Amino acid sequence: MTITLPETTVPTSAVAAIDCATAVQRLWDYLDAELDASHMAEVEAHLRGCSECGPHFAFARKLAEQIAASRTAVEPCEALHERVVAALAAEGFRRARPGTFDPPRV
Amino acid sequence: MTEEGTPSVTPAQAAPNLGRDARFEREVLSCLPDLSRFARSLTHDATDADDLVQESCLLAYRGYHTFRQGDDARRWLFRICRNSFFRQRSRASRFEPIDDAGDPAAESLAMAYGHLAAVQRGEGDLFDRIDVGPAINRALRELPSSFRVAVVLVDMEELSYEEAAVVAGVPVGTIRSRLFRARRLLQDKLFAHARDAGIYPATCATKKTADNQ
Repeated sequence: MTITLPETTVPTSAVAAIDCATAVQRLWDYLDAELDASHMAEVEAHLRGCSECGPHFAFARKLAEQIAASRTAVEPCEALHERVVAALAAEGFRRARPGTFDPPRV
Repeated sequence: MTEEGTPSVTPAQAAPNLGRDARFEREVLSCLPDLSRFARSLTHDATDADDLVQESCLLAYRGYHTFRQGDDARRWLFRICRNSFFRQRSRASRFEPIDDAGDPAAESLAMAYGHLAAVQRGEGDLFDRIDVGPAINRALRELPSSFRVAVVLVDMEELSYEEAAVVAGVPVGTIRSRLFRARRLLQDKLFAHARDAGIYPATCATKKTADNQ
């Protein structure tokens, strides 16, 4: 089980060593890229040197990927669009191009 | 957004909101597929989702003067939709108590411990053994709504913690807490699902864990 580590811009010499508990506490913040550069670099450096933590991060990343992949696919629906426009019309809305359905971005 | 796009006199007198409506159509109605997907994630029901989309669009139209030019219309709509969803649930007396007690760092640790325990039980290859998609969808439906919203916004709609917090109307720390708790619950439910499906032999220890979900 391997994980792909992003490039870091923090010099290696400036990266503080962290233990496994600290690295794992930052697991989701790291995978979501929500840490600042120095904390990201600390986790990356730890993962390079720790064979124990890597699988946890890889599993968590896979879980997040699977959750993302389960996102409901919803196609542009003209019927819903028309229904919404009709409801809005009762509020005074007037569409720019009546009678046209321009499939919006998905 | 101000009313600066609203014509004052002829020839738009017959349609004083034409400029505003054109902007609304371009900026807001173009987000309908995203809004529809988000509503479906909240309700898990196509009919309820369409009703929620319509309600959200009406509220958005009525409050369009509060939308600031340059803001992200999709996130603005998500927030309206989320608020409308919880308001409807509250009216239906099905409001769920929100459990925000989880410490985010502790949840991350629990996630790793859960994975470690699974590896020791010989269940570390979960994702290689089953298609977890259906199990994730079922597990998402079982999550408390506030947790599900955090997962949908961050994992599915790819918002940052800060963006998700704005949509959900809660502090960033609350989104982290809910998100990390939700992911751990999903992990636990996936392992329980695999055992229930006979992928892994149930043991006394795992049976006890599953019963406690």
